[in-house]
Amino acid sequence: MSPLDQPAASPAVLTAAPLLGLATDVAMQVILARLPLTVGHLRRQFISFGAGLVVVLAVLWLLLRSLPLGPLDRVGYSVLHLGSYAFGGFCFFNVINLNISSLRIRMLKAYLQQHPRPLADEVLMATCSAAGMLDSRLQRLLDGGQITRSGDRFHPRPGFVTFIGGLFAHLRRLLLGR
Amino acid sequence: MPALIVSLALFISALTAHIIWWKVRVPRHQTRALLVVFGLTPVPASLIWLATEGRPALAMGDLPGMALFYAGATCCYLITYAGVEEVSPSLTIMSALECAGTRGCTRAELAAEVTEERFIRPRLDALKREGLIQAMAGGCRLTRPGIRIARLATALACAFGIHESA
Repeated sequence: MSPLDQPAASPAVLTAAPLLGLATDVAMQVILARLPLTVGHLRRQFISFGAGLVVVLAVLWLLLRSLPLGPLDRVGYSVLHLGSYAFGGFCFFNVINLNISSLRIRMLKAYLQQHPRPLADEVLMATCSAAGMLDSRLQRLLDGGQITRSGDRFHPRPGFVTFIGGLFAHLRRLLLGR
Repeated sequence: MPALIVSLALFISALTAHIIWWKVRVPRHQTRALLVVFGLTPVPASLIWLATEGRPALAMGDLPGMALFYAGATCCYLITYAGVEEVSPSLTIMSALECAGTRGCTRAELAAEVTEERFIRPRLDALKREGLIQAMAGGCRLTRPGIRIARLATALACAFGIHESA
């Protein structure tokens, strides 16, 4: 019997787990944005991701119980679908962060406000200046605890951002030779 | 377990093909090239699977989960690669602070690293190159794709209560 002749196998239903988890992540983010909370964007995203993860685990547990699978297959499918949820959550995290910090997005929104009238480069540069960007990034890094300030000098704190910077530097050397 | 192993193998194969291509010559349009590599990698694997009648290590029911895993991993890599291709202002700041060691940096010293020439102009040029804005008398204006992206970003900001800070 060829693979195409087989009846649709039940592991396909497991795909519902990461999809429901992602839907929960997105829905929680919409709800949290409307609540009078004093938590920052990053914490909100971790909370909504966590809620989605609970849904993924619950759905996987319910579905895997009803499937005639061996222990290795259960582990394999769990990792596969948890991985899919993690990837989806990472993508959603970056969609939110792009809207917060992407200069290109900010430029596009500035052009949209003027549309259909053209926006002069000088006016755009005044809105999206290097000085303004530096100040907002420094504030965000201070608020996130990635850097500290003593007097007029800033200092790094070892952490995730430092690790990511190092990782990107290695990848840049490997892939782009710079 | 075979579904997980094959999905991982597909992604690692695509990654390997990407590294080999980049070692030979870095393509001009890197994102497009990545989409080609990651998009085409599952094709030969699918043909082999279809051709191996009677030895289905994978069932049809495994395909949706594998597709979701592979697509998710690919999207994550594309997002990560954007950070490799263009240095972000935040990572430039962190790099400058690490190089300065215990001395640290003043705002003026960091301002010498985060400049208009290094970050603002290239992004404006990228918008023009990508066809999201077009030059005209009096400045630049959004093109249709630019309008779509700007409206989508505005809608997302509204839906998720996002306050930009750049």
